[in-house]
Amino acid sequence: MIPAPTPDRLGHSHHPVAVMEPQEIIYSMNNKLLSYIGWLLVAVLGAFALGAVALNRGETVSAVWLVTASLCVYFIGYRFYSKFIAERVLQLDDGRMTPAVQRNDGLDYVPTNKWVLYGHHFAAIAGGGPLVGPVLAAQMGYLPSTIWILAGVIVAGAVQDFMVLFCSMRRDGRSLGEMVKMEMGPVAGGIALVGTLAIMIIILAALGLIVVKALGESPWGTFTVAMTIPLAMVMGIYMRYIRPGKIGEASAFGVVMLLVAIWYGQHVAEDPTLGAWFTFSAPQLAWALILYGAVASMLPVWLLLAPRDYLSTFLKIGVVVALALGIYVVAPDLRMPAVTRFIDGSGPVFSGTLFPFLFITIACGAVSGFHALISSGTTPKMIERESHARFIGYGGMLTESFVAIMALTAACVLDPGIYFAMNSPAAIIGNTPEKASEVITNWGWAITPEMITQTAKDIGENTILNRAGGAPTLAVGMAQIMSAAIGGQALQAFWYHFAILFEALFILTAVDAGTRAGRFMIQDLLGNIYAPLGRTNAVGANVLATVLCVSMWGYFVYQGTVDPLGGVNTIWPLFGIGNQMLAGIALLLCTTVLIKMKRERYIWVTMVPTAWLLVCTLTAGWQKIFYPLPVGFFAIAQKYSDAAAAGTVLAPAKTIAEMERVAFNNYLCGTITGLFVLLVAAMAVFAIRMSLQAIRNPKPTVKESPYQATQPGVDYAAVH
Amino acid sequence: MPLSTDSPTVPTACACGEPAKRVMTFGDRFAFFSQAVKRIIGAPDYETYLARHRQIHPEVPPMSEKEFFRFAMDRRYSKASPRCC
Repeated sequence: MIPAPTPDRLGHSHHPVAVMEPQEIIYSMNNKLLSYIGWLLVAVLGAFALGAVALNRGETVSAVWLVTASLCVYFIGYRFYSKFIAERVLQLDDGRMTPAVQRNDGLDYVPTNKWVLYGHHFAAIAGGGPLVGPVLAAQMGYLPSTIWILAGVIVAGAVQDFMVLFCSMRRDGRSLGEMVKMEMGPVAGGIALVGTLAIMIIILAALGLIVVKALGESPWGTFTVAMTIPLAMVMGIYMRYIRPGKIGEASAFGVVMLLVAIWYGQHVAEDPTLGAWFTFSAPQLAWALILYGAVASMLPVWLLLAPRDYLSTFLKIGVVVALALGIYVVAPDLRMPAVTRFIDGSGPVFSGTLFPFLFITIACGAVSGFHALISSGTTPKMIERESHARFIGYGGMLTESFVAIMALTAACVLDPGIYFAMNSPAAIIGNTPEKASEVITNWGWAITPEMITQTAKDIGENTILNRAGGAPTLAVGMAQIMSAAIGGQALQAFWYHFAILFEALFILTAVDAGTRAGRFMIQDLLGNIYAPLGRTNAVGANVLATVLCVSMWGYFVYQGTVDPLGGVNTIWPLFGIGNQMLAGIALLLCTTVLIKMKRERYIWVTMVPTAWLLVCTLTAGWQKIFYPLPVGFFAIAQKYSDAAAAGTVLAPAKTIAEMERVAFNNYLCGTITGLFVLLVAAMAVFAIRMSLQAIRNPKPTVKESPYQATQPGVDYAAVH
Repeated sequence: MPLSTDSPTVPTACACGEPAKRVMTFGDRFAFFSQAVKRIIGAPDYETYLARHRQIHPEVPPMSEKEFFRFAMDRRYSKASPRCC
């Protein structure tokens, strides 16, 4: 029986809790006791697993402990902290209509089942970030990364996703940029827009470079990835002309054909003629990707983007589930030490000390500013009840964090010697297995040249050296786990290329969709200067903005393949700083909103992560700009330009022209870092100013959409 | 087909219709599953649109499935909706 709602002081109707009989009270107390005992057991298991991971020295630890410890931390964080945020801080109110219910149009605004929307949200936030960052950070050992991923997600990442989702849900599903403009003023909104565009360009560059590095000199990989293009087109034509709207049929065909393409790729690689057709150097692939990005983002969406987007979403969810099962079935040992000596900043994969660079390298998985754009995108327009935001926002991010933990696991189950052979730049370990084994053995990880060549042979590649970027390392780790579960040694090469294809597929989708989104943002900005350039349906303006966008990210991808010091190692810190900066902006917005709602007593919930992110980004930015070699961009630039002026060539550069290229690129990266630092500092000033104004005002000044009460007893998800 | 599965019956109940008390058939379950998958991958969902359209604009003829599919797909990718890293 549902008691009649009673209006409160503000005239809002709430449904009172039914009065309980004494018997019911005893029953409910028993339940409560049972529940507390249950949570105590989870806490004990988590503490035990964490202890096994953290305190074990000298012997290897099973990855199962790492994964179990993480799961316990997630469950406890979700049960207690997210509940506190939902009930006390945000005071989610199911008596209030969500935009999906209020504006239900059956298209954009659709009230959606909580579990289905959780799937939708997770598929939108999961990408390459949580797979790459932890793999790079593994050079410091698995323990620092684990602690940051777990603590970061509970206190910062999941809080940000949840609160931005809440803010957008209370504002008809508005985007982050629009909300910053509404709550912090138009100048702050403009800064947020420029910041978003900059970070998107850097993200596209980093993702593009990862694909290029993974496919260089790899005919098997290149063939399978190239095949996704005609395959997606066949799907697109099928869904548009042959059987309109039959997405399931087209996707099933696509998945089967992808597996066939991976299988056939082996024959292509072994065939001398076909193999030669699909063997490209990294700079050639960079040009191919740039051309692809320009063409793909101007083609109609139904032909290439949408079908491949569907395929990559299926693979994404499938692979995450398979990897989790694989780790539990195979229970591999973590062979990387808990902490390596590279926490002092001398590591080959990325330079810089544990603080702040670990917290920059692992962005997605702990906290990712990009999620603020997704949490203010399609998801808030589909939430059926306010209380669901906790599961979707906070819970969705916990799952993303779990993906990061699995990527870390896959990197750490590899022989550390193989890990460093794959991820160290040629400038440090050379180009031959002999040289590489000598250098890495000197670091304390014994490895023979034969082990390096055998690993390459096992996965069906010519070499594994200098494959920095995360994707190949993760693929080798995944291949070892998956082949131990299914197929054994014989299928290892298949699983490796499956993992490469899986990553390349959603990276190409991101390049395509990202270039499109970047084009719209550029047109938005250009339209302010000269109105006709802002017309999104004008062909000329369209092409101009696309070319601008592609050349910006394309420049970094190409330079990453020809600059002797360039590569993922250079661009990734820039991406990390940018992404954390965006998270800082989003959390500043949430803090301002809390103050404007007159919930000042809870602002520590957003202030603590904001402060930590600002300290990390600004310190990392400072070091990248002002520190000496090998960390500071300007120090490297200075060194190379001075040497070039004096006519000396410094290794690994081979010519004066290469020296000048190194110098220019480092000046450029340093300047972009400076821009990010200024952006985040400016946003902090705006946030403080708005907050002080709001504190002085005795009334709430927050700009939410007007309250509208739901009708009791109506299941809105069932109303279509 | 509703996405709410609290009970094994099919509640077509809404402001406009009455609840149909029948057990979900295999076809119903498949339709539910396929609609859920479409929603997760962000693909156009014609049934939802059609049902809602009939409710809010009964006087306007709805788009055909083909028309809707084109319209919804173009719409999804025609704004600055960034993809995640």
